[in-house]
Amino acid sequence: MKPLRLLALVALFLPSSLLAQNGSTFTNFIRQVQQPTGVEWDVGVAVTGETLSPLAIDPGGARFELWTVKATPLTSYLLDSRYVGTYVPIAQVVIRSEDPYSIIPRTRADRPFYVDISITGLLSDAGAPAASQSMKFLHHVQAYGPKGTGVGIDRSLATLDSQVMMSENGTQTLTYVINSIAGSDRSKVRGEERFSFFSLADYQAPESQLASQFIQIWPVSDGAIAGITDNQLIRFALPSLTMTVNDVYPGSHVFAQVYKGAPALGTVGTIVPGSSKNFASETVPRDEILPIPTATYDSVFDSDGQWTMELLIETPFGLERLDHVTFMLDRTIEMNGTVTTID
Amino acid sequence: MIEGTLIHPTIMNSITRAALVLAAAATLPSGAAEPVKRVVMREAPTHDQIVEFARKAKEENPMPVFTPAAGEDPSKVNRLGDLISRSDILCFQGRATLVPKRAVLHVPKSLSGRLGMQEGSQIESWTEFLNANRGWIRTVAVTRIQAEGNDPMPEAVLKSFVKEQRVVIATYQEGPISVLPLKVPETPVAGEPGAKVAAPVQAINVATP
Repeated sequence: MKPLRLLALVALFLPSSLLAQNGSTFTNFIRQVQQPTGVEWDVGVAVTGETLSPLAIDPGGARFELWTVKATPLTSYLLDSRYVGTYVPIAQVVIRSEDPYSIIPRTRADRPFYVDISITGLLSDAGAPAASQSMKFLHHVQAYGPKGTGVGIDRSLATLDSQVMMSENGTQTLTYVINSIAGSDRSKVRGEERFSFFSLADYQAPESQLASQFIQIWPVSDGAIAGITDNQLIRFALPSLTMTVNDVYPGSHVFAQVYKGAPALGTVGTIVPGSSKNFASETVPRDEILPIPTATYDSVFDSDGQWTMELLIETPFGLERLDHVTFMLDRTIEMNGTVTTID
Repeated sequence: MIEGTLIHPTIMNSITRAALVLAAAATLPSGAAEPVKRVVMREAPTHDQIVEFARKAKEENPMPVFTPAAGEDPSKVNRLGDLISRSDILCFQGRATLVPKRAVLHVPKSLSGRLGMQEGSQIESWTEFLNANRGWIRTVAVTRIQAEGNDPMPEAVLKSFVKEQRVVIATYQEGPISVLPLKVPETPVAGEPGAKVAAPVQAINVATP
């Protein structure tokens, strides 16, 4: 059979979490592995961009592997791989969420996500090879564990949640209203879910990955204001405060605000100086303790009376209240004197 | 003699509040109260809320049903080998790169120390590394058929390795490529129909025989 020359378009999109890990630099390699000979060729590519592979693909197809390599310790990470063949159908997986972050799809433990799948090139001819008539669609889940970030995990330990056959061309969107990561507290699960297409095995090549994408699931944040208790009467000096936030969703903004009166969800108040912390550049959840000395926030209280302080977080999913406390402030000393004389 | 009396704070609060209301009334149009700005905000979701939300959503929008597939998890059965174990490393003066195994065709004894990772070196792409080390690296372009072991490399090229003082790397379109051992045609031995012998294997792939 005359070798079919396929032009393989290769694109690089590296997770920033890997690029930033331990401050090390990573170098990317794309390796083309011819099937069934096993000849391996390194495709020269820039850090980002596209190129056409000039190496003709044999009838058995070829596998394109995207790796990133770290020097110390010498480690390689497989980021993606795709098998391309003469009669092997083409599949694509795109995962969307409400978070606009573009490097790795990600969402929060309480939010839905959407898996767009697209299949082309499946044949309906009964005489065609089995690998051209259908393919497998896999769903893997893997928990990162308490405070885990997914860095350095062994993905071969992921649990196969489902494995189904796909035998029709077309596109469809699968809606996952909630994640499947294991965990007793559904607000605190963290891990990843991977959706992959695999070709069927035949004489040319074993079952090989055609497309794959994963989404990271991060926990819901929690937080607390310490230093003031509910209904506390504060006379004279305000106490020093400590804001504690756990599992801050990457890309979020944490701050505290105060306003006069009883708690009313949705009220816009005055931001407490020293309480604002932006996590826009983070790629994994963070815990943070924000000490607020008296001197930094005393100025926001312009009068005595009932005040409410709220600890808020602005996430890609909206503005949320993590904690609040209401207290009475009375710093006025009123002197009422009389003057009398004794004659 | 002066006598002082502290007024109870709550009473003073009332006085202060009344004064603030009066002050506000003086600056606002008659009958208008200071508007309270509001935004969309919610409490952080809890475990119970998430479970209930998921239960309802799954009832209202069940997932489509597909035909289950038989067999083992292909991602585990056909797990790809690690890139480093499938590569040779060239390293010199703090720079290193990876090439596929069987891409290193010749290594003179004097340069044998430049194979393998040296502590503290940084990994570079093949192109960057080659540009910085052309003095001791020679590239030999091979065809796809030669790489597959279906066609021998020219005899003159192989002979040139004998006196070559540089490391020789097989390349295809400037990228390093593995060169499989030459597949020699099996020839019957005279007098023994059906018996076969193998021809001498081409002497290449010194780094990864």
